[in-house]
Amino acid sequence: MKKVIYRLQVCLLVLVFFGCDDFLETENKTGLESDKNYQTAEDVSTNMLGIFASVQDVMHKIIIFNELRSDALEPSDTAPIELLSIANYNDNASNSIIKPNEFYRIIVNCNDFLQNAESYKLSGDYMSEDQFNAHMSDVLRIKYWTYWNISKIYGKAYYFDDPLDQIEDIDKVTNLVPMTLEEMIPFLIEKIENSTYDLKSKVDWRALFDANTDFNFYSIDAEALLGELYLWNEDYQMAANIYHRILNDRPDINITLSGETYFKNGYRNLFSSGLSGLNNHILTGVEYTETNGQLNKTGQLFFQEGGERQLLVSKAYVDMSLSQESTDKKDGDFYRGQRTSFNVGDRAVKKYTFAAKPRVPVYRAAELHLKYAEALNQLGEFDKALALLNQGVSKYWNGSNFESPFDDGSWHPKWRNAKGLRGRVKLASRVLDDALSDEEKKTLIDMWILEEGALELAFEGKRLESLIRVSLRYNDPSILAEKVASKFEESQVSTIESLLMNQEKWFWPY
Amino acid sequence: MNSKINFLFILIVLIFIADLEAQNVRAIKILDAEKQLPVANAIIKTDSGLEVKSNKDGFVELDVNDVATIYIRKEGFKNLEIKTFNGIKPTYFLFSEDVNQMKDKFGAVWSSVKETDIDHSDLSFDINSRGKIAGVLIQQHSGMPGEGTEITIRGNNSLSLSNKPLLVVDGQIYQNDGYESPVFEGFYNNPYNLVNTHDIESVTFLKGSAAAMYGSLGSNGAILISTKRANELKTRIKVSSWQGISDIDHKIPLLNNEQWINKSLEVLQTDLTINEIYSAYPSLFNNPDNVGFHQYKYNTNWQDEIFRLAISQNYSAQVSGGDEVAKYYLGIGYNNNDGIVSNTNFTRYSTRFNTDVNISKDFKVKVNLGVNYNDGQLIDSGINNNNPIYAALFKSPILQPKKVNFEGEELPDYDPYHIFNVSNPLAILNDNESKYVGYSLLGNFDLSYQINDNFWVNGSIGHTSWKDEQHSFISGVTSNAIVPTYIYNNYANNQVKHFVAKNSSLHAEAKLGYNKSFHHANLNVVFGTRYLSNKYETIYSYGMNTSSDKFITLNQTNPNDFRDISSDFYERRLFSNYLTFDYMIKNKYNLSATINYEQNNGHASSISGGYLYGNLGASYDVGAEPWFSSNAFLDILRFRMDYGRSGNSRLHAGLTDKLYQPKNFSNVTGLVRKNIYNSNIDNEITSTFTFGVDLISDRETIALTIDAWRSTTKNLIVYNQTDNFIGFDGVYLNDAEMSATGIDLALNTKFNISKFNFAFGGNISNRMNKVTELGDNDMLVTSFNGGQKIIREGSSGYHFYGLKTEGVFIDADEATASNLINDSGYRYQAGDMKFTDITEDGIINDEDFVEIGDPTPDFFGGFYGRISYGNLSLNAQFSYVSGGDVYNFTRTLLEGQTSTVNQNRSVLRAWTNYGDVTDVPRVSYGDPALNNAFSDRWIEDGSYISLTDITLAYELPIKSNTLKRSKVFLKGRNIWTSTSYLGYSPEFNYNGNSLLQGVDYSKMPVPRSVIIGVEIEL
Repeated sequence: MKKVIYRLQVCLLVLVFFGCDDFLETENKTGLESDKNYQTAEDVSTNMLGIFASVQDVMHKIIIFNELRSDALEPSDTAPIELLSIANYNDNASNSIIKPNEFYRIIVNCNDFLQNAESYKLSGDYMSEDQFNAHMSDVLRIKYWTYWNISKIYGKAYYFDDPLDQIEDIDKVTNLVPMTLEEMIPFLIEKIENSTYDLKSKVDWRALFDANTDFNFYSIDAEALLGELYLWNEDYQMAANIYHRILNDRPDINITLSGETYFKNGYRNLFSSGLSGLNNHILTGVEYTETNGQLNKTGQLFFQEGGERQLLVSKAYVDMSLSQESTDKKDGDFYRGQRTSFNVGDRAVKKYTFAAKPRVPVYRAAELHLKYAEALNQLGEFDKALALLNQGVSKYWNGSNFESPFDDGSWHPKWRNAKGLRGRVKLASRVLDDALSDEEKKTLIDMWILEEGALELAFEGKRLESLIRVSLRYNDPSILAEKVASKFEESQVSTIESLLMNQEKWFWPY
Repeated sequence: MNSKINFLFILIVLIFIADLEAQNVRAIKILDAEKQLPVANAIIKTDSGLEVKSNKDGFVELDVNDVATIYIRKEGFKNLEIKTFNGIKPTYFLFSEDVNQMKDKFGAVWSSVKETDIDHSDLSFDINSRGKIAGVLIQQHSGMPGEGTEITIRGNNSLSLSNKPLLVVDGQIYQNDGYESPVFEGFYNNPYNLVNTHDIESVTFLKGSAAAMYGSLGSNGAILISTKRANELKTRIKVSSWQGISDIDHKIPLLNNEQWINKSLEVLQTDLTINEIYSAYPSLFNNPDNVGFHQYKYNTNWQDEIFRLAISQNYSAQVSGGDEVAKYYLGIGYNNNDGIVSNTNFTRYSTRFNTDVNISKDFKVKVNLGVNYNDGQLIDSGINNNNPIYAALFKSPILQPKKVNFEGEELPDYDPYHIFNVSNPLAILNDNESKYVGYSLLGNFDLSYQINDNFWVNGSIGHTSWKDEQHSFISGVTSNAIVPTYIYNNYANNQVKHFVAKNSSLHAEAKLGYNKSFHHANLNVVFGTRYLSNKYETIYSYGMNTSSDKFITLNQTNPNDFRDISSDFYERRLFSNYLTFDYMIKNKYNLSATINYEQNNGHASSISGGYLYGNLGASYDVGAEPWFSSNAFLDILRFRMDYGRSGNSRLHAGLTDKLYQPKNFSNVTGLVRKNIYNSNIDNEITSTFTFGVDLISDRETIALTIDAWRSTTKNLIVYNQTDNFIGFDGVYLNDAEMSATGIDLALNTKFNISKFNFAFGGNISNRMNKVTELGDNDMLVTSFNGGQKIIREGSSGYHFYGLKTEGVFIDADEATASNLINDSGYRYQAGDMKFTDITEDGIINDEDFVEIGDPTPDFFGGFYGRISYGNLSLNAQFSYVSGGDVYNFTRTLLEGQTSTVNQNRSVLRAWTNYGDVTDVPRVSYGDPALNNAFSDRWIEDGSYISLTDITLAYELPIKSNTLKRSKVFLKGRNIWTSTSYLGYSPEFNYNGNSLLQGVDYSKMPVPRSVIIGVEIEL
């Protein structure tokens, strides 16, 4: 009997001392464990697409910041309180729309990619060096673009490269001193100009996936970003050079903003998908494929349950659009305005509600025209700036070559069809009074560009930042304050104006 | 602390003191405990070889020299064994065989309650246990048949993890965390109905450190179910049946057609001119000349249309028997419960087969198998266009269920949802498909071998699995009777939802035991090892807009509209080695301990090593002292003390690793980071100290048991919000600590006056909780649908957190004088709510939030009374909860006066004119003033006392060789409730989550029922 006991004890002990850890090893299927990621070239691409997808989550914030806080939009009666308080500059860092979490989630994902993709690279796979570098540069561009937007919206940003894997890593960044908008501009210019990766390179998706796949539409255009940064940095020559390079030198950009058929059939389709000819107009855009489970928070703002929209176009904006002088016997800025952007009657925004897959442009040709004109204006090239703004470079084509001031040989012959922003939508030109001084002309053209931007880029998330940029340029907060206050009821105008004379109030808190 | 040491010291000293032994002839009287009559002819044996019988007066004289043990036997009574070292009493009471003795009910060392008196007239044991066990709060989730209860033992010890007690069936751990259905909003599956009440022998509730032997699964206490086995060789057959009807306790008073029209006009006039209203809502100006007059001429109380008298029925049969080698028990059951909302139903088919095989004298095998099949028809709860209860409350009374043509003739289709935008509740109940199917299987195989007189081994292996499948089709595209749901920029005119949850677990255990009886003591030691693996998996699919309501499957949904598939999977594993030790000296000193070294995966994967859990308990029974025996009327006067350390490892696997998750992009899928993970996340650790006293009298006329306990939970997991620039909202940290003290008291008495037997008793429990540490946070605010809750350091846990009100502004002067605006700039006017501006900044916003209610009850329990006369007995059981606050979410909609949904009759006292003093503010379309914001206006006292059970039973006096017993009974359940709560029922529990405790989204109310039944034993 003793033997039996002994044997049984041995059996029990065997159970006790073997394999405890193996017994407890389970696969975590609630997500992909980190040691299973970044194993293959496909993993690298998949993670990068995840970052593209994350950009979808911030577009509505950019639009709300720029349009609801400017003179363009106002909350409807049924808008949630978060939107009401944003519209009234009653800012609260706990407001879920104001919270910058989604922006920083892009940053964390970018940092995670940049760190882990490097380690993948060492293992070697079928992805070529060029393709790999293009992935890295794509992610860097998104990171810089995101920081740029954080800076514009919040006035400050916490810059870090850590992927924040675990809680201990949070401590590394909580004590950072945030960079101000002014500090961020040269910092990002330096990052982009001196990047170890060629930031103009793009992934060859057709080689990676198949002939029909190309995600470069979502890729941030490095030059467009850099041009914008130089413009904010008041380095107008550099900005003008870059915009000229993009518009003039690239083969794939429809620089001309031309064609009768354009505004009649295609203009509104900028915001839907499938028209490859018009895709050229968008250098970078964000698209929501709702059938594939992508929540379009941008569309939701304008098309709500039970037909109740959260945001409406302000009366001030409608008046501005209707008061434009048409050359086509229409009501004001008809083609860009009520035909494309909004309804006059119920003041609903319709730009994003045409199609099942609405697009939100991040950079598009018309914006580059405006920014190029802005830079040229600051350089004193008023005629060039006005040509881009009014009826286009085509007016300077004499049948064989361009006339002054476009006769320096740097203008591609394609410009001979270019209509200009106003000409394209059949609006009358803005004409300078020759009696004005150069300074007065410069200021006036800047104001025209601001207004043209409001009309052209309506509700695309560009309005307030333009007002900020110009106000900073002239060191005159009243430029922004007056414009924003114009949509408020008379009793509130002075309150809002005096509030916005304080620059800090322009930005969202966090 | 000093008192604890002193007690232990005395205990140890006492163990070594020799007792004096009695040495003489003693007269003993033997009485029947219940009838108090002498028991004649009882056989009295001693271990010295004497054998005598009691005389007709129950007397016997016995020479107790050299006698250590006296055995008393009498047919029909339980055997009695007397150790002479405990002294010899002048009188001994015998208890008849079928009496459940209090002595066996309460644990000798640990705080535990063993219920053997299981009521058979319900699906699961939990519903009828309400109010019966001190320290155990059992509340029905709702009146939805099959949904069951939420059980908490001594309150919640966790803020983020499961607070459910561990469920153990025949020694096998059953994972019962349950799930919240994504198909039927608010539906929570009931793990307790996996065993038919007829098949249950006993249910033991382990409180505090008693459950610490289960290590990281034990911090919430444990419920041990023992199923029935054959205890005799003779074949026994029992058949029983009951039939019941149920009904809603009361309906909510709503506006009638005229009142509703007036109220709706008032509301609409705050937004539109009367002409605009006339053109948009012509039905509000209905008169016989209108074309659509007949559609809007009714006065319907929609509650009458959906609630019904519901019928339930149960049939079950059990057979047991066998021979010397093998015994078996077979139980089958059929249970069909209709819900009080039309077309809701839950049916269970259950079978259980337990066998005991003696392969040899020393080698025994047990095989247990339980199989259930459930199906049912359920409904949605919550804020949902498909919730029939909300639809019935909100739908305009001027409409009626069926479509009516212009001539006033009723058509077969259901009336559409109209401009008032409320679904037709009858279309929800009749046009939709809402199916539930569940299977469960519990099987285990248990071998024991007695090696010699002292050593034994036991091995068991068991498998449990269950699978629930839910399918719902929400119609609407054809009938237009259900309001489309807006989701992901799509209108879902009809919807298909499908959900599957699967759980399977493997439990293996091996034990080596050692028993030894010494002269005055008994020693039991068990060394065991246990392995548990539990896999849980869910799959949910969703689609919308099939081309017609005839097409109800997922593949028929529109591929161009939003579709969703989501799933979850995790596996919990646990491996532990334990040693239990139980040492009893002279029936009075009892020392018991468990040491459990456990490894589990409920923590970050970077943490290695295991956990040391266990308990230590000691008790001293003064009643067993010989010097106490001669005069005492007390049988047991026991002092208990125990300490235990257990854990909670029921972490979701998503928190333990750095993870990536898919994110859809264009027509492909990308990967993004899922979390910032906590590489230190660990088991929560709860330690409990209990001091208890049990007092049981000789005849058990009085049984009092009191536990005073204190528990501390460290490593408490809380969700910490991170800085906004971290990118993720927050992380889970083991950052908090909580301590609680409580008292559980139970008193049972019984006595008889002539031929009437009476029994009265009750229990009361409380828990005083304090969050002693909250990490770096001063407070944590968490939102739920409709409001938010706060935890502060030093507070008792989750409290409601919102605005405070001071009535309604009587007139413009008062409103102007307050000079208040809300967050959106609205200036408060006469008739608006007067919120307290805590910050005194003139703006009412979230900075003015204060704690406005505590959902945790102050105390709870139950009491009972029983009278029996001959074969007739009447039994009443009450349960009560005192002091828990409830957020009546439904009332926020029924008293909101912001749209045309029907309202509670209380809105008739709403503010209308200057000078009105009332608690209900003015009407206002869309509520720009935010009068209906989350405030103390919606917080109500959830206290109640309910007659949960009243039963009149009659044992038929027919007895023969074949018929052993037969009984008929009439039972009322929840037939009386006293509460000041304004909702349907103060007894509800949304989903067991601490955050939603006390939040009433109006699930199906708990009904009152009458049941009639019969039981026959052959």
